[in-house]
Amino acid sequence: MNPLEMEMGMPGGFHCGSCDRSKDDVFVLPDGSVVCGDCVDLWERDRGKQN
Amino acid sequence: MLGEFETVEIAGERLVRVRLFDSRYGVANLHGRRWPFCVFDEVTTEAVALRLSFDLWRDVAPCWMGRVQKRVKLSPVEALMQECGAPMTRDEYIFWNSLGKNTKLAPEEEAGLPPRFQERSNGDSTDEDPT
Repeated sequence: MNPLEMEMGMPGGFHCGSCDRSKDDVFVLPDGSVVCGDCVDLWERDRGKQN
Repeated sequence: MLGEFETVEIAGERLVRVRLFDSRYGVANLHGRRWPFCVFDEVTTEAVALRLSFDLWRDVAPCWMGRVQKRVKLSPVEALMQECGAPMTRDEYIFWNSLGKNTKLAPEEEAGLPPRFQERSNGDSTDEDPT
């Protein structure tokens, strides 16, 4: 894709691997996956249930 | 700086929090390209491929920031030419930055050029990526 075409309308930010949204504030999990703040709360809850 | 890293502890695990500064005004979307995501993705992929531990990956983060800062020094035109596989030459750089005029640079202007475009007597490149 032409970089100049990408400049318009493409959100900057990181892609959350869990909710597929682009976020400016993300967390990297120990397995290397990237999730946003909302999804890390779900991850934390799951971890709590497992323990 | 495009963003920052910090280590946070959540559910007994140490995670890396990555915050991007104001992507709305082009800080993150430099040169029309999603630099942070691309480079970030590259580093993550590399880390997984090398089976680096999480702690080691965190050590990689400062290098990532250094690489981002180095890459964003390219002008939009220069970045586009590099993308097309035709890296900008010294003459082209001076031409673009002089608004299309062929100008002879004064010594102080010469010193202000990026190192890769400065005239060197021995012809050695000083723009090698040390990493």
